[in-house]
Amino acid sequence: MSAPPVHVLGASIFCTMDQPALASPASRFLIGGLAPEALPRAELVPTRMRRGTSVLCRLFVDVSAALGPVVALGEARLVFGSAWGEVMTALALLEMRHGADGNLSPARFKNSVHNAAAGLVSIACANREPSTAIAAGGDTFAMCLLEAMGWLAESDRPVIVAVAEESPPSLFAPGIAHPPFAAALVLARSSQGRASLGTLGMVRRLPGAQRAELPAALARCPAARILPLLDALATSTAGTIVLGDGDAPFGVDVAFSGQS
Amino acid sequence: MAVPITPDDVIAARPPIAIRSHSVTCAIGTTQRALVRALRESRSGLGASPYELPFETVTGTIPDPLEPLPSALAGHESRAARIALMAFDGVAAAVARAAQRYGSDRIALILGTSTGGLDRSEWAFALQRRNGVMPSDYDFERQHAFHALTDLLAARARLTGPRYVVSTACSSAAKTFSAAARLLELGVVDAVLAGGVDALCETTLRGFHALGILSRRACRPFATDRDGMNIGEGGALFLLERGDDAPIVLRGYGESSDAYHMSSPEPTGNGASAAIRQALARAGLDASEVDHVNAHGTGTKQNDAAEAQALHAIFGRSVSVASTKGFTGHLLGAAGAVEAVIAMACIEHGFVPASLGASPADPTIELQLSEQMTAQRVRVVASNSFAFGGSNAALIFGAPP
Repeated sequence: MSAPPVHVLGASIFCTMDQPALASPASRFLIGGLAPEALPRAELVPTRMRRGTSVLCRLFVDVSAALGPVVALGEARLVFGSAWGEVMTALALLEMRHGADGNLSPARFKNSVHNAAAGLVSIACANREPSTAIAAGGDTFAMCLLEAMGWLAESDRPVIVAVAEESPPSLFAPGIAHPPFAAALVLARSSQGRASLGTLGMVRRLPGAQRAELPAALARCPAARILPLLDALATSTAGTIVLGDGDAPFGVDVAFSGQS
Repeated sequence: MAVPITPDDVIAARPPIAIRSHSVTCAIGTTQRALVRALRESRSGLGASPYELPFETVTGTIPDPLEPLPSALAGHESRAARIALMAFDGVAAAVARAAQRYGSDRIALILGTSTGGLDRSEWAFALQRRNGVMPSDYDFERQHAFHALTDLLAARARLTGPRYVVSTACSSAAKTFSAAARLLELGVVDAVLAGGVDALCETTLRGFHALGILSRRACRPFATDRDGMNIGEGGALFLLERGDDAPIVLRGYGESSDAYHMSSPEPTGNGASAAIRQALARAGLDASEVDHVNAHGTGTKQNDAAEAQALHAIFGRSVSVASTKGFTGHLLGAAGAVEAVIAMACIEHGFVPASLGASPADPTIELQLSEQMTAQRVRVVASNSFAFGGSNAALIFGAPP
C-alpha cells in the first residue's frame, strides 16, 4: 500500500543561538529566539500550569502555538519528539533527592514525563485528540514523521509534528552542547483550501545517501535534523531530503505543485 | 460497523493484527507459565521495596536476579536494559524467523518506557556526589537516553527497520500496539517488535510519594479504603504482523486525550471512554461482546473513580472487571505491555483473575468487580492504560473474529 502525499501547511522554528544566527533559508520560519537569553515563554499555557515546566516543554508549546493561524490547535493530533527529553528535569529531581530534605517537587515530578509538553498543549487548547511523545536519537524527527504518516492514513485530522531539544547537562554528557532548539510542522491529508508549503512522500531508507549538513552549533542537536527539510520548504526546492545518518539514513521526498 | 466518536469522526472496523509471539517478565513471574500460575492462585508479587526510603511503601520487584548484559552490549548497562534483554529472550526465536522471512529492515521496533535508563543516572549522580566525579562507565547516550534501549534491542535482534521509543508515561506500552498497527497498515514494514519496559527507580518512588498517591501497603484498586498505588517493574514484548492467523489477535485500539489536568484524570471518565469506544469500533465489536476488562485501576481515589465511570458508561455491570496492579504493582510505561500478556493469558487459559484488594468495594463504583479468580471462557478482553498529561489508550484482544 502506498500512502498519498502529505501536505505541509505551516512551519515554525524557535532557536537561541549565540552567533551566527540561523544562517539558512529556514530562518523565515523563525518565531523567536536568536539571542541566548531569549527563552520560550509558553504564553499559550495558563501561568499556574507553567509552574514546574522545563525550557523543553516551553519550546514545544511555543512552536506549536505559532501554528495557530494555520491549524485549529484544539483539533490537531500531536506528535512530539525529543531525543534527550526532559533530562534537565531529571537532573533537577536528582539534585532535590540529594538536597537537604531529599523531597522532590510534585510540580517538577509531574512535568518530568516525556509527554509533559503534549499534555500541556492538549490541556491549554482543550484538544481531546490523541497525542504521542517519541524518542529515537538522531532519527527522532524521521520517526515522528513516520508516526504522523500513520495517523494521517487513519484519520483526516491534521497532525502537528514538533521536535525540540534542550542540551543535556555537561555533567551527564560533556560531549554534547547545543543551544535550545525546536521546530514544528503542520501536516494534513489535503491542503484544506490553504496554501501548501509543499508535499511529502513516505519516510524511507536512502542507501548510500550522505548526511545533510547542519549549522555547526546545532550539529549535536537531534531535533535540528528537521532543518534541511525546512530549507527545502522555504525555497520550494524539490528533491530528496536526508533526515538521519549512517549507511542508509532515513529520508523523505519533498515536492511542490507544478513540479514532479 | 461504524461508530461516531465525535461529530466529525467515524471509525470503521479494521482488520486484526496477529500476535505471533510474546514474552513477559514482572514481579509475578519471568515466564508466562509462572505469571499464569500466580494469577490463578491469586498470589501477589508485591513486597518490600529494595530502596531505602524515608517513607513506607511496597513494590512489584522482579524476584529473580537480572542477568548482566553480554559483554559486547555492556555499555548499555541499566536495570531497564537488563529487563529488556530478559524479555527479548522469550521472542528471540520468532523475531529471527521473521527477519529471515521478511528481511531485518522490514521489522520495526517500537518500545514503550516511561523512565528508560534513569536508574543508571541516579547511580552515577549519587557516586558523583560522593566522589566528585561521574563514574567512568556512565554513558548518557547509551544508558539514560531513551534510544539506548531500542539501540540495545536492535543490536541484539539484528534489526535495521524503523525504531523508536514511545514515552507517554503510563500509556507508553499500550500505544506501541496502535503505532505498530499503523505502520503495518501503511505497509512500510511487515512485522513490528512492540511492547514496553520499565525498571524500578528512586525518582518515581519519591515522585509519586511527593504527589501523595503512593500507598504504604499493597494497593487496593476500587476498594472503599484504597489509598494509592504501588510501583512495579518489568517488561513484555510482542511480535506483531498483519493477519488473523494467530491464536490471539489485537482486534482494536483507541487513543484520546483528557485535556483536563497533568496528573489527575478527567473526573467523568469521558477521555477514557472515548479511547475504549474507538477500540470497540475498530474491532467491530459491541460492548456486550467483551468478556472481561483489565482496568488501569491504579488504586488512587481519583483514577479508579474516573475509570469506573467510563467503564460503567460503556459496559454497565455486565462485564467482569479486574485491576491486576495488586499482583504486579503499576509498571508505568510497561503496564500496557504486561497487562496485554495478562489479557492474552485470560483468553488462552480461560479464566478471569481476581481484582486483588478490591474488597470491600467502593459502593460508588458501579462495576462487576472480579472478587475471586473464576475459570470461564474468555474470548475478548479490553485493557486500559491512562497516563499523566491525560493520555488514554485502550486495547482489545481476542481470538480471531
